[in-house]
Parts: sequence; C-alpha cells; structure tokens
Amino acid sequence: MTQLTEDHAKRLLRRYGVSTPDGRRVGSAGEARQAAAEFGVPVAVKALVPAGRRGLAGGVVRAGDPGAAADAFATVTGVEIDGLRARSAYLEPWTAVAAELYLAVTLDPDTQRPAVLVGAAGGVDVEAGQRIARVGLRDDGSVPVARLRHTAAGAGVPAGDLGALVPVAVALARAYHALDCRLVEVNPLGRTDDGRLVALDARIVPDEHALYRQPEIRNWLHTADPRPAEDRLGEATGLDYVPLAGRLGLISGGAGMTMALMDLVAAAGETPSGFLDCSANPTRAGYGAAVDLLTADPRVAAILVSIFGGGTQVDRVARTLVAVLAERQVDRPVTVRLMGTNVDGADAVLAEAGMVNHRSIDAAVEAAVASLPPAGTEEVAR
Amino acid sequence: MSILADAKTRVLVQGITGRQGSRWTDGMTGYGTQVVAGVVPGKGGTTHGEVPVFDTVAEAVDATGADAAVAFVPGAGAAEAVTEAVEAGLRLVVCPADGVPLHDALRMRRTAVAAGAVVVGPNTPGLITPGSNTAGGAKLGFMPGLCYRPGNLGVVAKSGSLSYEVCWRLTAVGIGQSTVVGIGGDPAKGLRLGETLALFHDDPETAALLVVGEIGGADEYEAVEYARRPDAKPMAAFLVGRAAPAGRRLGHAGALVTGTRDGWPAKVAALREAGIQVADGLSELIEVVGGVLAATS
Repeated sequence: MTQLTEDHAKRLLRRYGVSTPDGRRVGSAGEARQAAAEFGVPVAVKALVPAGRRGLAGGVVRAGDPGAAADAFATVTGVEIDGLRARSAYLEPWTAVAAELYLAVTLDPDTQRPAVLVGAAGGVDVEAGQRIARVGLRDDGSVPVARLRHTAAGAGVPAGDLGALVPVAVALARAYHALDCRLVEVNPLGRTDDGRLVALDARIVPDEHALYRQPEIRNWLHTADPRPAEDRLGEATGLDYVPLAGRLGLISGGAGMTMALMDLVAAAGETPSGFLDCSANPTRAGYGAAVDLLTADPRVAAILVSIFGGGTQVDRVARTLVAVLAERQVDRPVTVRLMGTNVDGADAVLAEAGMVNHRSIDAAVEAAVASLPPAGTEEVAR
Repeated sequence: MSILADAKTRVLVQGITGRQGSRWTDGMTGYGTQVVAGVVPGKGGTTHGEVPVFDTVAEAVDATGADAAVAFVPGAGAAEAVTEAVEAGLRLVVCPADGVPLHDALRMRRTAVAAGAVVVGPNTPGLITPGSNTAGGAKLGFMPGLCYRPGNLGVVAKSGSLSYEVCWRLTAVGIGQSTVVGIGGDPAKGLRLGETLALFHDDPETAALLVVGEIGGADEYEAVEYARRPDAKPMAAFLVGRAAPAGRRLGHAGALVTGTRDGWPAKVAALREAGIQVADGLSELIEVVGGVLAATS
C-alpha cells in the first residue's frame, strides 16, 4: 500500500492545522547546504521515499553544520530503503522534544470503523510492545473528545498533553475523511519545551480506489520519484504483484486463490516467484504483462497459470494465453489449470495448442513442480 | 429456506443493460433466480429480454414488488446505487463491485444498518442458495452455478475465487450448501462475518458452518466469538495465506496497524481454541468438513 512522502503528508496536515517544523525539499547536496545555512543548524536530513522506518535504514541524519548537511544528503540518498533509493531529501531544523507520542486515524480492523489510535511512546519502535489505545469515531466522523482524553490518559499520555492532543486528533480525523485516506499517522508527535505538540514525521496512506476524486494526491503518487515498481506496474497493467524471489512463476486470479496457490506451492517445497493476481485485467495486455514480468526474471525457471473463473470466462483466458505465449515464444515450461465458467471450451482451446488443462489445482502444482530443473541448478542466464 | 434469498426472492438488477449487468442477469435467470426488474437511469420504459427496465429503484419496486437488488454498477458509483436501493425500501442489496472507495463503503454500511437492511459486499461474487430439480434456487451475483448443490452446510467466504474452489470440491463429493455468502475482501464490509453466522444460526436448514478466510483483517475472530455460544452449530474453517511471508501485505488489504493478530498462525490458533475444526490445507478440507457434518445430530 503506497504512502505519500513526508513532505506531501506534512503539507496536507498543515492545511488542517497540525503543527510541523519548517521544512524544505532539496534535490542536491548544494541545496542541502544552502537550506541548512538558512534554517540554522542542527538540521534533520531525511530521505524522501514512500517507506517507513527510514531511520533504521540510515535514511535520517542529524547534521550540525551546512557541510555536514551536504554530506548527509549523499548519505540518505545513497541507502536503499524498502528497495528504494531517494532522489531528494527533506530538511527541517532539528526539533528537540521532551516526549514523543503516537497518534493516528485509521480503520480499526475489529470494528471495521474508523478510530483514533493513541500511544504514549511514539518513535521508530512503536510496534514493540507499547500500549496503543483506540477510540472509535462517531458515525459523522467526529472525534468523541471526552472519551479520547480518558482513553489517552489510560494509555499513559501525560495529563498536561491532553489539551494539545485533542485538536491534533480532530485535525487528523478531518483529513482522514476529506482526503479519502486509509491511514493518517503522526509518529512521533513530539512535545517541545514550550509544551506544544509538533508532528515530527507524518504518514498518509491514500485509498487507491478514491484517487479519481483526489487529483492532487493522485498526481503526487503518479509522479513520485522513486516510485515502487509494483505501483507503476499496477497502474499500467492492473496486475497486483508482490515479488518474492522464488523460481516458480505464478499467474493467478483472485487474491484468495492466489494465496491458496502459493500455499500449495510452498507445501510442495518450492518458493513462488511472487504473488501475481491478474483478475483486474484478464486481457491480452494483462496476461501479456504477467508473462513478460516472469520471463524477465532470471530466477523464474517454470510458469504455472491457475485461474478458477466465475466472472472470468476461462475459454477466453485459454485463447488469450495461447496467443500471448505464441507471440513471445516463451522457453520456460508452462503448466496451466483453468476451471469454472466455460471450462469445456478452455480444454478444447488448450488441446488445439498442444497443451494440457489440469482441471485439478493439486495436479497442476505437481506438474509445475516436476517441470522445474533440479534444485541447485544454476539460475537461467538471459 | 436457507438465508437471505431463495427462489421466491424478487430481484431487481441495477445496471441491467451494462456489459456486466446484462451478462450476469442472463446467468441469474438461467439459474432460476426471479429477476423481475432492471434499473438504468434514462432507460426506463425499455426491456431487457422479458424484464422491464425503470429509471429509478422506487419506480421499479412500485411496479413489480421487487424485494432485493443486485447493483452491477462500477466502484465509483456503486455506493450511491446501493444507497438508492436501500432508501427505496429494499432489505437486501448485493454489491459485487470492486474498487469501491473505503469511505463510500463505510457510508453504505451505516445507511444499511440504519434502515435495517443487509448489504452484501462490496468486492464479492454475491450469494447463492443452490437449487435442485425439486427445489428452486437463486443466485444474486456471478458465481458459476456448477460449483454448488443444495445441502445443509452454510458457507461464508471473504474470497470469491477461493469460494468457487472450495464449493466445487464439496459439491463433487456430495456435500451440499444451504447458502453460500461472499462477504467480500474489502476492509470495510457491508454484512459482517459474524452477522452471517448469526443468520445461519437461526436457519433450520443449516446444520453446520464453514468459514473460508485468509490472512489480513480480523473477520475470523467473529467466528471465534460465535463459537463461544453454548448452542453454536458445529463449524469448520479453512484459511489461506499460510505461506505469505511475515510483514508483506498480499492482495486484499491487510491491516495497516502491524501486529501478529492478522497472521495465519494467530487466527488458526484462536479458531481451534474455540472448538472450530480448521483444515491445514485444501487437501484436508473434505475430511474436516465431513467430520463437522458428522457431529450434527
């Protein structure tokens, strides 16, 4: 799930009244040096990548003078964070805080309703055992303030911070709704020496299904640099792809059946090349892109296509697959399992192309695993 | 009677003239579903085969007595179509659309709950009460009829594609279903898993239950909750995602608040602790379900 970069997330939250440090995006070491001189040192130099836990990966550096800021730019844009390397950095005056809280608005999975999440120990290791308390929003999206104060206090937020916490929570809730977000998170929300609460970091995960009505966010996501390859692929082809680095390439339809297929492959002692769900685009372009993705991966030694079509007519899938494979002259063994709507037609189409349709998913997995070269064979050079 | 819908249900199809709407309507009527009306703004007065088309749900209900709807409307407009149907008095609306914005889905559920209506979905093939030669069935959605046969197992599933595979296997060995409900894979659902189990609980034709789940979210814990009832019907479960690497979110949106509670081991442990029989893999499914059915008396 893609998030906005820190600069954009903070820009949005400022519109709703959340305090953030001054900040500037810089695209070079020279700009970093300049910005540090203007802000005054020390500064925080942060990698602009759509990923969390940048600090742990070396993507956040404190610089004590403009020269160090220039060096820091090179450092934070030189490390790989979640497979991404930043092209620019975000500079802020280093903000000293006496305490760090955690505050977010997101769907509570237990109630399937939005909730404020609040904790008294924000920071990078927020997941490690701290108590995060939840306060459900009202039906109209508003925050029940008295309950928030009570719950936050119970979670260990100092009494003196409650008054400042409330408007930030209200602001996050408003942004969450107005911007069609899945998550709006401030971690850490730091208390400065004068008792103000400032968002030291901000994370916004937009709802990909609402981008059509959030043009500013859509534009930021689509022009992001770096941009996760799977995002770009998903936007261009409709494929839902999570790479996993195994040698059996899978093409499947529907999230549940794709996971079921992966479970069967794992039970057979093999590793899938990834989770690859084509159901959003069961066309020549979609399957073509899927096959191209797998054949471009030198680790993939065989391909297994498994589709149980309900809405999808599998005789059409068969015709498309045959055409796509012929067009590309794929040289890895391909095993096919098609079942569901119009399966008899699929059998005929595949037979005509000299291929077998394994009606049982177990048989298909067995055949696909058998089609792999022995384990330990050198990866196929391309 | 099974739950929610059967051969007597009078179904209205929103978007009946669209590519999806027209194809799936033919599939539904072919299965025996009573499709009594279509609704397409601007196409009122026309027909789709034998089915009269109206401009609004209210007009369609007034003219035909429809009591349920299926909204074959794309994601961006789906919540509005469903809301119109609920406001027109329909107590069951199926929303197959994927790509429904999260906040629309939240609003859709609130509207339904306030009206005492059930919205199934979004992002689901729908629901089916299997029919036989002697007792009519009905499907509200686009699942392939070949996967189902009538029986007394109530099935609730998050994944549509996986529910086809599961039901196809059950049907092949003679284990029939009372109703199969796809609650969908979205994080904010209409009809919840626990609510579906409660409906099955009150259905005399359902003797045992099967939950088809997966990693991500917390829906399966609603089954744990149900199983704590002293009079709970025997239940089996099958969850996919066992092989998913920790920390990676696959397919249906996983929880954004990280933790282990939405992973396979935690869910399966909780289900088993509550007395629910969980199949370790697809190959154990039939044995486990058979065992649970044998426990019914």
